[in-house]
Amino acid sequence: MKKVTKKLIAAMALVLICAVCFAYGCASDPGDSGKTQTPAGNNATAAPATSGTSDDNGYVFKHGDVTVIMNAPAADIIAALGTPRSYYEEPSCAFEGMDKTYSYGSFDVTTYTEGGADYISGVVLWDDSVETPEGLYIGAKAADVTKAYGVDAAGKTNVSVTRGKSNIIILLKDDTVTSIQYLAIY
Amino acid sequence: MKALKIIIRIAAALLVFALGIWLLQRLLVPKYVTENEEGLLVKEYYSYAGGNDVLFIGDCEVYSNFSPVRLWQDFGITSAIRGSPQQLIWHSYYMLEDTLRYETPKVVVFNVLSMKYGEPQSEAYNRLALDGMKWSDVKYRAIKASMTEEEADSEALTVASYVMPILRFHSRWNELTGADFKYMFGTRQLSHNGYVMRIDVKPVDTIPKAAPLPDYSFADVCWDYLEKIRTLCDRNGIQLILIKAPTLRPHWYDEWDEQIVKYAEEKGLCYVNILNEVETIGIDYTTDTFDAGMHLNLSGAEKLTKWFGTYLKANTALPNHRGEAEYEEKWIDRIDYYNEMAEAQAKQLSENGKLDGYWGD
Repeated sequence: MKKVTKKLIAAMALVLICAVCFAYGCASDPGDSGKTQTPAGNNATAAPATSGTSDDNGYVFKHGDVTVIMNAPAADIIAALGTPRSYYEEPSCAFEGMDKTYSYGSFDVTTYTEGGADYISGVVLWDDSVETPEGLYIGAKAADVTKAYGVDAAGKTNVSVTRGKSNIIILLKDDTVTSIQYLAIY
Repeated sequence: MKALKIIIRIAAALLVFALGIWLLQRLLVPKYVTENEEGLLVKEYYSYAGGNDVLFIGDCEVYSNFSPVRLWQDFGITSAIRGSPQQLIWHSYYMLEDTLRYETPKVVVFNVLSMKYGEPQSEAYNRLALDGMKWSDVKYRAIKASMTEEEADSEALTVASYVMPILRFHSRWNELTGADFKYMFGTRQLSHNGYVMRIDVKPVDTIPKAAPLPDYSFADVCWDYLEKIRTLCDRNGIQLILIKAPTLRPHWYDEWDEQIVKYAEEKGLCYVNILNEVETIGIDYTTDTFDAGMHLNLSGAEKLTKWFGTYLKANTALPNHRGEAEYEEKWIDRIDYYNEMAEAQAKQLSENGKLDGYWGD
């Protein structure tokens, strides 16, 4: 009878352990943070601008020789952009590290932290002294949006275009572009 | 007789097995003592539930910015904060429902920042809001309402993982530290009736410009829950006050504010955007914040609380309980712990030049 009891206990333990492992994410390891987003695996950094946008990198922003790629490791890009006019950091809402904002006057670059390293999370253009590689700038017309990105912006207050792991949000007022914002898609 | 023996053995085996699983679970769940300490807040509420005339619900903008101890000391107002990191509006609603199982406050203060989030942001924040909540149908509904898309894909398992957190945290076995063993059966008290104290200073140097948004409308789900909060308060004879705490980040857009003003007017509620009162309150962002404007430190929280106590006196019929033995007795220990933590943090700050933890040790 003792053997039967032991077998029962062993069977119960085995069933429970299997259930635990299979049922809830041996594959997923939420840990304390539970953050699920991962960088897009972009290995491009502050590569010199050689051509227009690349499908692999999605929509990029270029400033001089510096290419800012969404979800790319931020360190080299930020270094290449030079000293920002101002810098702000705040604890990340995504739970890990700090969200950082580097302001360069005409544009801001923001980063997030993943696995101890910073990655590009966005770019905001503030004035017409900078433009996207596709030629869009603050103050451009709705027709320019169509020309640059192939979307109809006439009469709209905002349009959004996506390529790879990047998104550009374009705001308009009276058919004139008022804001251009790059966002990384996690 | 033999059958009875078998039953007893099986029952004993089951008991030992359950005890083993429970112990393992105690060991593996995060203790929130060395990181993400705010994970303690929801659970801590049950230790100070009862007799609170004011209940604050919301995210870090309530638990970092308002001091119930000061409200008691300066105004004789009893209060508690049910806050959690990035508490979304549906979390807040269920915090209120859960609170009503233990007490009925006279005033509920809801911080409206979470109106900006129309969908669950992260499973981790659900854990911080819900893991500490005692089991009830309220918690069950809160879990169902809060699931991220990923959690909802395996809904039954997600619910099961709240019943048995070991299902969620089993993989922490290789991250265990001494604290997991030390605090296996009980953690330290972090908050002061829900207030999380920080005395250090990180001044506001610069605040990034807020990018314009494509759409400033709050999501329907947020309006629905705000209305649920309002009607729940109404049904229980509770006065609801809406606030926007005076912190500079995340940015609070004027377009958002206008919507809340309109709602409050329509429903006959008090709404105060405290960002407009910063000068009156005397908040100095070079000395009154510990993280460059996201949250107030103790100095800022005490200034804000003093102003808010006056606001409450002017806009509610809250009683002053000072001098009532039952209350005095309850609050004396809380005041002691509050002062003790402030002193410990001050000591650590002066010795190390920085704070390593809330407890100052």
